Amino acid sequence: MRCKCIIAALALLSLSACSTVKPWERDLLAKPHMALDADPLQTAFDDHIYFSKEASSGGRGFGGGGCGCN
Amino acid sequence: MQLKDKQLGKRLALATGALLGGVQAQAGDSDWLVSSAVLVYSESDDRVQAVEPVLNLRRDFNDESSLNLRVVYDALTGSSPNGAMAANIAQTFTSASAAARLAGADEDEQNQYEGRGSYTIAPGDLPLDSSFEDTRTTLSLGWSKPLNSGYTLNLGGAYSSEGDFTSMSVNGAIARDFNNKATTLSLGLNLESDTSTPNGGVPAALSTYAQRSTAGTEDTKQVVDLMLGVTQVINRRWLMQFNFGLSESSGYHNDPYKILTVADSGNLITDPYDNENYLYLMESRPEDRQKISLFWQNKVAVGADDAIDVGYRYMTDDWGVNSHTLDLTYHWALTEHLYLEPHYRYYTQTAANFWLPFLATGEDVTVTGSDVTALVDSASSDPRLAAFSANTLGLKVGVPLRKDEEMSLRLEYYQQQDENSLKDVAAGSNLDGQSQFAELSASWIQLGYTFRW
Repeated sequence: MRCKCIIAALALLSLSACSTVKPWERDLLAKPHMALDADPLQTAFDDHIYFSKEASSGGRGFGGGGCGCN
Repeated sequence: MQLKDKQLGKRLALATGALLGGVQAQAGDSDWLVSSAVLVYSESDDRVQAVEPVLNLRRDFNDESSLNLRVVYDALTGSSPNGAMAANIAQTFTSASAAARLAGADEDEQNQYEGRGSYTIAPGDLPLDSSFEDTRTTLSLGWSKPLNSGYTLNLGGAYSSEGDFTSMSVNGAIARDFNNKATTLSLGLNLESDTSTPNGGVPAALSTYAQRSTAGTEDTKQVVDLMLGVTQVINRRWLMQFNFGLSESSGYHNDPYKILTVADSGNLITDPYDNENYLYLMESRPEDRQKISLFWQNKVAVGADDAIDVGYRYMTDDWGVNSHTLDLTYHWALTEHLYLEPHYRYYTQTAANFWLPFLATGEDVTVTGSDVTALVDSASSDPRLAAFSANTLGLKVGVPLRKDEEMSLRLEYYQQQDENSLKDVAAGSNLDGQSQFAELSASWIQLGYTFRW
């Protein structure tokens, strides 16, 4: 498992070597809806709901917490 | 173009902002960006209902640093499964939490709680504790500051308080841009300390429900999270993020109000300490938990104004829970001032290795006279630790009014499906034919308004 993670991370890093997107070509990526977390409040609501109903949390950010969720 | 590049650079650098609770980069304006929203959450069968308003204030400063403040208030009411199994005979419960609440209540509150300290569940119904009621307030703070040599520092903290639970956390992350800001690497650390002060005291693990043995009035849990993230611009239309997270928590993980039914060949047993009620034991979970998560997200621009968002998460822990989450959203811009976002999420998890729908005598517990001895170290019937899958369908309608001003309305529907194999019960017994997992369905509406102030 650990080995696979390192390989995946290295594979992603290697992508940087072939990225040829110039700054002036980033018009689409700069639009608000293209943000990785375009609506942080929505993300926070959903993370909290799923944290309180499922055994998994985190991934995008630090997982859950701040809730007794009884 | 330069401004757009700057915006993107900040977004990439602040990918770590996501680690700190979703701070989003904005242009460097000198006033506050106010994001407000209210969530109304409702579970079917009169289970948990919640109303949750939130206010987020963000300010960007001339030195490209930014400050983020958030206040969340959560009001919860309704019924929560107490952990006992449905049976073909009536079951009566007197919850420690309700009894403690009644003991400390004034006259008005006693009237309000009348009849809720003790409750009887009809044959075939899921045992729900209707005394569930809580409010929660969370304050969080985040600060981001670009440093020299392409580094960005993020620091944050959060405080959360509810009637029987308090949580405090601090976090920090450092991000570094490479390759003309096409690549961002980030490393984040979160430290959290939680304190549980259950109504009626901390129940002794696997003690009988009727005995009410307690192990003090409070217990604590410490959590350390570590996260490594990579954000990569693949091409003009494709942005990708990959996170690897490690989490270690130690201390009190129990739900202090959850119990388990004890059954002998599927039949309920009279509690040796309370002849009028059946035997239930308080749940017990391991004191340590280690989790590993992998998260992969892709944002792909479609045409000039649309986008696909595809996310996948794998999580595994040493409790035996393995989960997969797939999340799909399409941003569909109908006009400059109207967009739709259909959303689908699929989730599946395996059960924790100590999840049991009930405790069977001879197998999980022995009962000899008034001597009740658990044969297992840990046991919980909490449906959150069971095997299930879940589907969420949602739709958001957004109305961008001008730059940094938007109204939105979102509706989501969530449905769980039981994936557990049935634990054996004798034919014709009290538990025969009864559901061993209560599938949850819930829906929520979110109304949001963002503006500059």
